[in-house]
Amino acid sequence: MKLLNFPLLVLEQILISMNYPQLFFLSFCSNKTKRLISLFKYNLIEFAFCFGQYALRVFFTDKNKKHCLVCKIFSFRAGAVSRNLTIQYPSRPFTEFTDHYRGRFAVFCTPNIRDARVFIDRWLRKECCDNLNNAIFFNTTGRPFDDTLLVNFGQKRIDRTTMPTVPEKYPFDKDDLYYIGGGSDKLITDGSYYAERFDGKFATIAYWDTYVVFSVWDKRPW
Amino acid sequence: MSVENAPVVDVDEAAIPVEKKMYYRFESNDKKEFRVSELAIQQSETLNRLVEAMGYTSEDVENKPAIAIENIDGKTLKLVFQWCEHHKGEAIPVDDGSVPKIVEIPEFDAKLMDIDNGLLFKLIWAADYLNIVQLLNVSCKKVANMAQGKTPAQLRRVYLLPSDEEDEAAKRAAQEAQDPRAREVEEEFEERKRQGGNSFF
Repeated sequence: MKLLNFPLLVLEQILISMNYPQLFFLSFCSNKTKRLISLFKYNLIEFAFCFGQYALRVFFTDKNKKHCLVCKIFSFRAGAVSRNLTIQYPSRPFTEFTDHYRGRFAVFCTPNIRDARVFIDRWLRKECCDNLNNAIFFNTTGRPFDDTLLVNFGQKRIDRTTMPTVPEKYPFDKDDLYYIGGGSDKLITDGSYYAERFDGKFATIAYWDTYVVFSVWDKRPW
Repeated sequence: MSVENAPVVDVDEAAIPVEKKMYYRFESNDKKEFRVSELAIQQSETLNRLVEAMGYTSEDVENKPAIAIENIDGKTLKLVFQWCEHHKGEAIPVDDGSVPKIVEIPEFDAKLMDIDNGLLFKLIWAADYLNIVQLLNVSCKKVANMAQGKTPAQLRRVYLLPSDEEDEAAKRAAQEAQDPRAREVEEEFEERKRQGGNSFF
């Protein structure tokens, strides 16, 4: 399918249906795609690119909000979409990167399941990302993550028939859903894995295609 | 019932006993004929305006030739009308201008669009041409979803995107194929722009 053969108005519809990580990855394909995205995504302004040793940082402003996108896309390693924070040294290893992370929402683009597992281990020990509310692990290879990620969670699952006070859906706000891409109907809590941290915080983890959704709850939700 | 076997024509006429429903006849560019209910046609702004302008009676619909849709083939038109029949009576969504646009793809639509990329491409063209807002929304979302989980290199393959070098080569080839006089005019125009002139004339 030749994307650029669509009429311009159709092309606009396709581009505005994409979420930010998809658009940015698309913008790296050619100068033409970059121009098209700038043209249609009228609310994305002030692009600034910054190449590091292993990573590319993209700073942009969406209306009044400032964002920073960090991509290690050229080596297919890790990357992140960050709001509320500018990451200082994103070209370091993933754990160092998460150590610096103080945002409340992140999309980690990584095909490496070990990175996700390390992240969860460290979060459970309260060693990283303590401000985090939600994180999305996004497998850039397009394959779903395997179940080994859940070892840390002791295979405990939310069952809303016995835990009726657990909300039916993950409480993502509209902005966060932009990054995840798609509607809220898929973010069902039932069946998600969960674990309790020593300080009383809870984490849940849900699978959604090539995404793993990691969420933090301040208190036991049931 | 699978999407393939779903009827294009709604036969449940008993549901509306008082007013007889009217079915319009359309013909694709490969001479395939379709009968589509009046209510389903309302999903397409183009067709709806067309039939309103024609002002056909029930007799006209049967006796006059089918309305020709010149630029859409039968296979594509069948999908379009299946979609319209399934969603007939539904409100046509109004774009609220939000970006990124959040579009849900219903199960029926997902099955309907479980087709090869070539046909999906034609379906989007048809939805755009016939101005079927929601079909265009869901089909564009389907194309947008193809980008999920893809690296730039994979995106180039999925969307057949030319590289910068290929774009440049195509541009050069187009310039070489251009009429020499037109090229001279273009060069003159560029030269005047460089000299600070606001107008060519």
